[in-house]
Amino acid sequence: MLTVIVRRVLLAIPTMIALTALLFFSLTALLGSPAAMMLGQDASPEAIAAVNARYGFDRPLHVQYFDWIAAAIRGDFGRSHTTQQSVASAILPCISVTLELAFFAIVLAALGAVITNTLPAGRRVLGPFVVGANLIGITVPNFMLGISLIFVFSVGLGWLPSTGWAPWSAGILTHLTHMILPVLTLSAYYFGVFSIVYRAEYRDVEKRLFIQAARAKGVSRSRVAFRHALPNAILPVITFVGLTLGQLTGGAVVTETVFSMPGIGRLLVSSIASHDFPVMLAIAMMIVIGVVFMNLLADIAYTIVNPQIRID
Amino acid sequence: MSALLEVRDLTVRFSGRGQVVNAVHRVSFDLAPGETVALVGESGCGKSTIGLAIMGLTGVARAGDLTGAITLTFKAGKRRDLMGLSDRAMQAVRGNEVAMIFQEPMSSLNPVHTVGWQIREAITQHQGASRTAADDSALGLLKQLGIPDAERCLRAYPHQLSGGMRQRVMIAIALSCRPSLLIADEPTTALDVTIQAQILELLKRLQAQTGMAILFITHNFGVVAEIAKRTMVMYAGQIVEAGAVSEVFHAPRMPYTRALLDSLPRLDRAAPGGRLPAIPGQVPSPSALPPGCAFHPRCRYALPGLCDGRTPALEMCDDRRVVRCLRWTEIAA
Amino acid sequence: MILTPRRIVGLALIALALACAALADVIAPHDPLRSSVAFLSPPSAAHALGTDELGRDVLSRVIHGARTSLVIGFGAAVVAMAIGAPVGLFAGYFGGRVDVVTVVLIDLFVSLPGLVLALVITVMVGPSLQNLALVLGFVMWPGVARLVRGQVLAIREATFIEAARAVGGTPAWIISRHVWPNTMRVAAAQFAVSVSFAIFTSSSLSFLGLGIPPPTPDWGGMVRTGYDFLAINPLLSLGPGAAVTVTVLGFYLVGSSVE
Repeated sequence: MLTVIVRRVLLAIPTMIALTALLFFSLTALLGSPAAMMLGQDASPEAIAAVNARYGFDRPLHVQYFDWIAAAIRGDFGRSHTTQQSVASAILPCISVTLELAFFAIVLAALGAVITNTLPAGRRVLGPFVVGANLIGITVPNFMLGISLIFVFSVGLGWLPSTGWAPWSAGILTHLTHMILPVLTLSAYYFGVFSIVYRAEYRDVEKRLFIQAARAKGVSRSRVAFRHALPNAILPVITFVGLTLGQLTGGAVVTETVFSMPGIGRLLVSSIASHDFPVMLAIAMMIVIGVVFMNLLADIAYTIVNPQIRID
Repeated sequence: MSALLEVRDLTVRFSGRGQVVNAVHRVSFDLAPGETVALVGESGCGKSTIGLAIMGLTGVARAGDLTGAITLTFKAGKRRDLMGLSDRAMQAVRGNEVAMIFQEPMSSLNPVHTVGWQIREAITQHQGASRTAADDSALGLLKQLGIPDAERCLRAYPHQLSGGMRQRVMIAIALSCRPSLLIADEPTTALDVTIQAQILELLKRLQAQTGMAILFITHNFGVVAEIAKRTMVMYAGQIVEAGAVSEVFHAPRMPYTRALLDSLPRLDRAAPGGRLPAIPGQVPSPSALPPGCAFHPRCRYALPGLCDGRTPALEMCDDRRVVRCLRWTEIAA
Repeated sequence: MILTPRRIVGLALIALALACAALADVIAPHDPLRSSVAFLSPPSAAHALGTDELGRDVLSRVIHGARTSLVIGFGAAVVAMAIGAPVGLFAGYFGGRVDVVTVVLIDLFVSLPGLVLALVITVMVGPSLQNLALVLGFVMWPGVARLVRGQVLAIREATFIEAARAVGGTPAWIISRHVWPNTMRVAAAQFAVSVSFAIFTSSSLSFLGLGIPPPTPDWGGMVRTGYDFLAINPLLSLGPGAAVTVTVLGFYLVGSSVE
């Protein structure tokens, strides 16, 4: 098992390098001149040249790339064009917001998907409802779900606040009540995805002989479901959780916007809107690295959990 | 001595997609304690379904699809009709009073749990033993079954063991609570011939030690001769001949049995004409059985006007010998 | 194609969306671009869903919005299939190094957040009808390629390909006669799902401000502006939002019911 893991890690490193380089080059190339982008179309050539010199955009691309990576490793991502504070200080607080939102949403989605699709009674009686919930999760866009929830629970009933973020300093209860609606909104889609994947795998597992053999031992239906079928059916869900975590390194863009949460997604959108190239670049690079890293983790987790791969 | 298991008029129907299929039709038989009976037939004749019906694992959709009576004499002495028991009550029977082993040793063990875990589960399910006590029992069982390095085997996962070892583990699980009846559904079919012989020897030895009865389900006559004293031949969901193995094999009365035996290659006798006589035609689909005798389209003794009209019933032809054929008296032994 | 309840509902919803798109000028009660002084008025007989902040009839705007969404949806799906299907076919059929490299690229691409990718590219090229269709098609093609490749691999293993080869078919002949028809079924389903995904994502992009510029009625954009007035008239947001949901649902139901 160790050799498999080491090999995957070693493969991930050149992948990260290649992808970040690709991203760097394509962003800078496609955006034309970052300086022109930041200053606007009708900036004078002297102003552009000045910005180029100041940020070093006039150097060859690969030099820029290595400098950026070298600085990034030290934690220096440059300065935000709009706010002039360091990019790192702009991004850092956003990470914890997105992380918390993503974490709760994924856990809720995964637990919900696995449990509702494993309970023997659930599968028979609740079956149509679960399928319905899946469908809603996958087809209702985040913004629609979020706004609908706000309309019902905030505007209508007044039970919950309409924004998603209250800092921990405002009190644990306040913080958590603010999180309820955004977490529900974000998890709905993943609940649908995880459910579909898990249910399909569970159906296959149920047909396998060891399930019948376990029943023949006198094991109860629910124990067979949770101790025999679930551990086998959950493997693809693990992969999907990893994939999802990777995707959410870019933030839950729509959910954060609907609920006005200061997360990475919203920062990305605002940096794009304000043409803040250094911030945009930093976040994009973060996403690429996050995706590769999470895929690697998911691979490793799968290897560890599946005894058939884990041992010899 | 009363029978350990009495099956009366067992009928299993599978309904789905608008079709109703009679997998098993009014099967009746007895099993005495400690006896080995072989249930033989080609695939699709319903023999596996009978095993599952006894265990209550047929998974039939509607209540009316499973009828008849399966009366078991429990270890404690009482006699109950298993068909009347709820699934909850059956959990106490499965693995404890009646155990079952299956055909595919790889697929019958859960790949994500160790062998030890799976044996322990059977023991704690019925005996509520502590973990160490269960482990000790498991170890003892594996040793009894002749598995080398039993401690290592307990900690191993199924995919690390060979086919023969896995089947022994299956047997260990089945025997862990000392059932009075073991249903063996083609346990050697997926195994190497040499391993096959070992497993059969093992089963005979265990039976002698524990006194349990075995219902051995197979399509292989060679295995029947090895392990069973009595046999029941099935065709299209019904028993068509039953009796002592020696008698049925040497003097089959039902044309189907005869044809089956004739089609087996034998070392002591050349096949007539140099070719093995295969049974013409195909096993009928359970949803489209021929009128009259189910075997008549393929039977060389079939009489038009008789065999395609009347459905034969099971008749006694000797002491403890039954046959289902309209013409058995006329057909020479 | 057998008509299961799932498919019937899906087809009905698709038909509804198509009708709105095609017959908007006929069905819509008002001119979607005509502003009036009666802004933010509640639902009434004249305006079933009320009017927006410029006094325009919301219902008419929702009906007209179908056009934009469907054009982008179909356009993106076509682009995705046009690129993805051949790539998947060839990678799956020829195998070897080409296949391995393709799979690695596809896997990586698929694990990137689609919305973010579309976001970044759209900002760079500017939002217009064609651009949105192209960008979303570009985001979706690896998913299509992967599915098509999977189908090809499954069919390739089937023995009838061996039989065809034994009779002396050339690779091109084998692909066109045997592989393609079987893959078509799956590809058609994938097309419907792609349309569903494209409308889903493009409406999110519009919601974030990257949709078709006003005053063209655009569902996502309408939700965005309507959000500010949620307490006054929720239908400004929920109306177009429901339209998106229903359309996405329709295509998804049809596309996912083929196995």
